[in-house]
Amino acid sequence: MDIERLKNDAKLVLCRKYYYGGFAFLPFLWTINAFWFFKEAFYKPQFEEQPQIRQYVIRSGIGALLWMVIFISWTCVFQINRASWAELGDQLSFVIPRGIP
Amino acid sequence: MANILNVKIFLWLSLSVIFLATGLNADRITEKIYQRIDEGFSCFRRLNGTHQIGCSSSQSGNVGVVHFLETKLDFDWLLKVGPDAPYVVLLPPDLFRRENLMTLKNSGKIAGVVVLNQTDTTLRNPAPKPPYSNDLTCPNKITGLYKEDAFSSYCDSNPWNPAGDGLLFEDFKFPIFFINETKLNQSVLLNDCYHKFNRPIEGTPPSYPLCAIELKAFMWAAVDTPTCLRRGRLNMMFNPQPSEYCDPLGNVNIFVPVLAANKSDGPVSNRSIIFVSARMDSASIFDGLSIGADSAITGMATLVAIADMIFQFKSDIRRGDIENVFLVLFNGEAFDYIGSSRMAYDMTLGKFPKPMKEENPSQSPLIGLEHVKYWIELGSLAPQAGNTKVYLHTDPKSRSDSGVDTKVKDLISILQKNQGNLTTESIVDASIPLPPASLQSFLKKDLTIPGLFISNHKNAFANQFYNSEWDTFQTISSYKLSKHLADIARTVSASIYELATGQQMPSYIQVNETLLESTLECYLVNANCSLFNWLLNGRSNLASEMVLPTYVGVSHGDGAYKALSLRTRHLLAMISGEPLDVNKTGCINSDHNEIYHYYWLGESESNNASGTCYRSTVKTSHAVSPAFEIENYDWASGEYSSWTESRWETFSVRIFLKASSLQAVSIFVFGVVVLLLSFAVTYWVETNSVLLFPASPEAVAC
Repeated sequence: MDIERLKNDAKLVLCRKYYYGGFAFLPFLWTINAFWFFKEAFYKPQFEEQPQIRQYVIRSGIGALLWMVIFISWTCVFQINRASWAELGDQLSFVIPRGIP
Repeated sequence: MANILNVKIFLWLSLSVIFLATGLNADRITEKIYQRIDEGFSCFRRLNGTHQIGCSSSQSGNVGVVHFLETKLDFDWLLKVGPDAPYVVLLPPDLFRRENLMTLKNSGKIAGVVVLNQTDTTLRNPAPKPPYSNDLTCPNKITGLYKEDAFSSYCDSNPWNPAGDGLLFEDFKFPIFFINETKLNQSVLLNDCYHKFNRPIEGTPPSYPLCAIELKAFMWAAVDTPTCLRRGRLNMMFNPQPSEYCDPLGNVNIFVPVLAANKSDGPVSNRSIIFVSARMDSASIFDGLSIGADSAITGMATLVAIADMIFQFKSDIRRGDIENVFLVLFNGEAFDYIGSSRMAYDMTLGKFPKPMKEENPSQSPLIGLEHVKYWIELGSLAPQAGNTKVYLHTDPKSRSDSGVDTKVKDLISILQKNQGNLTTESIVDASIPLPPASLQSFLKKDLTIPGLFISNHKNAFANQFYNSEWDTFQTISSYKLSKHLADIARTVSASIYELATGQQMPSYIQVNETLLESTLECYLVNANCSLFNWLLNGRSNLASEMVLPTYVGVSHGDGAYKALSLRTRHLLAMISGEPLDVNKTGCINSDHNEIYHYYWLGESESNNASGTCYRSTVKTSHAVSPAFEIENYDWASGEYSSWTESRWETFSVRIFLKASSLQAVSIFVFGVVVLLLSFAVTYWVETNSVLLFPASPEAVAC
């Protein structure tokens, strides 16, 4: 969808929806929100809803970043420790590797 | 204009020619690069409660430059110079020993090992110089009878298997194959591959291209038995393509109650059954190479001969206190007494031969350890050059009880009284424990069983190739073999007769030496023999001159390991069976119950033989370790065998020519340059398309 065609108030509604949706453990909504409305929030000439959109974009961005940090650290911790966690490691795996500890 | 068109047509034509040419040959390119070698036997991974042993390649296979180590001196060049690592070394069988393998393993320059077995001009396999054994110096010590007592240290100072280098129990991170070059037309690996391309000349490394080999034997299981079982269980729950990672080692024990008994006849009296047993399995590092000539078959064949004699006098058995004789063949004994420990376990739980079921009227009465009057076990029995003595081993631990001691002495004296042509020696030294024997599993549960182990060794094994791929007919063959085994069979049968009746065995009861010889032939020389073919009604489906492996195997997978137990069961059915006057359909549809089974044997289309129906008491029982039955079994305890075998998909070996890494890199770089160049050309054509392809007026009109 091309948000250029939306009116400013519709943009705000959409951005808000994505922002609140992200709280349902959906960090991808925040990621999309942050990128999608970035231009609207920071580069477009000022309009009435812009401060609110900017607020949502910043918060979504921070949330997405936080999630990314959590994801990456968990992946590292899991990959490093899976073998030594033995049973727990296997239980947390969807595809259990063959031929290695 | 015309010129440009010509160029276009030319380009189009040449491109399509290239595509067509590559398209036609696409599936043959691998064949042009690789040459497969099929005569290989691979090392694979086994796991116990705490460790993994054996070999595995990486998932895509291990690749290395082929290097032949003919003598010990060649190791130096490989380890100190050898610039083309990783290598796959070819070893003659005699160099496949622990110290060499450890040197190679620790060098870090090795991607795999191939044991190259080339027969000499007489077509005999040049076996390694004896002694040669890859089992432990004290086989099965952990699960044996003397785990935590004064006798446990005996074997450390007086090893039963002094040649044992324990290579079977080593964990290798690279694949090891055993390749017979005898069956190939010429030495592909040695002449076409190594000598032609790779041989260093006066120590100078060869130049590229080099002959490389790819060994694929990727094992799915890892770590230990509890881990691979758990992974299998979890995988079965969630994975869209569920599969196990490993399977417990196991097959069947085969046993024959000489007299049929029904539970309705009342319970068996205590101490009223004589057991005669032998083992039917051996082991080696390589899948499919475990004949176990002296490790298993000499004892097993003797038991077959004994069975034949006992069935000639079976009506006399119940004259005295003896109610029955059980002949037992244990399976999986090489891996911590799998078969015997399971039978002892089932006996203590009242599940042997089968758990009682009210609704089933045709069941054998329960047999427990308290019913055992005597236990006679046959071990390795091949006669040794210069010493054909037979040794009678007993367990000093149980003999410390005077009651048991008296019975054991009776047993020994009766055997020695009936020794005939044999010379026997009873081991009297009370500090010498039993050698590795199935009897240990039963004594572990009940020390009041009077038992005896008959073998051809006093201290260390006389068998110089214990549990190895070289324990073949070739190493035990002698003109005395079948005669010697027949003498032992006669002695044991006569002793059983005397134990049961108190009298001498009648002289008309003789050893069937023809049967003994055919048995040895079928198990040791050629499984496609007339006896086996007769037992399977001509449907044996084996390659000629093949010898069946005696490795216990797993319940999953190909039938190679079940082939031997099937034939053994039919062999004992023939010996123990009563021929009935029933036709084939009647025989097959008879009421197979827990006392009798019906076997249709001897049918042959080529010989125009119609076949006979035999009613036999031969039975099988699970030879799977109790560890896999017990809930929450402590895998580290060493109480029972915990061996499992990893699953794998394929074994494959192929050779190819490998270019130097410089050449490989330059080809790659050239490819990248061509790619970039093509981008540039495309870009240039695109930007100048107006010049190259002027728009035609008609197209514009449209």
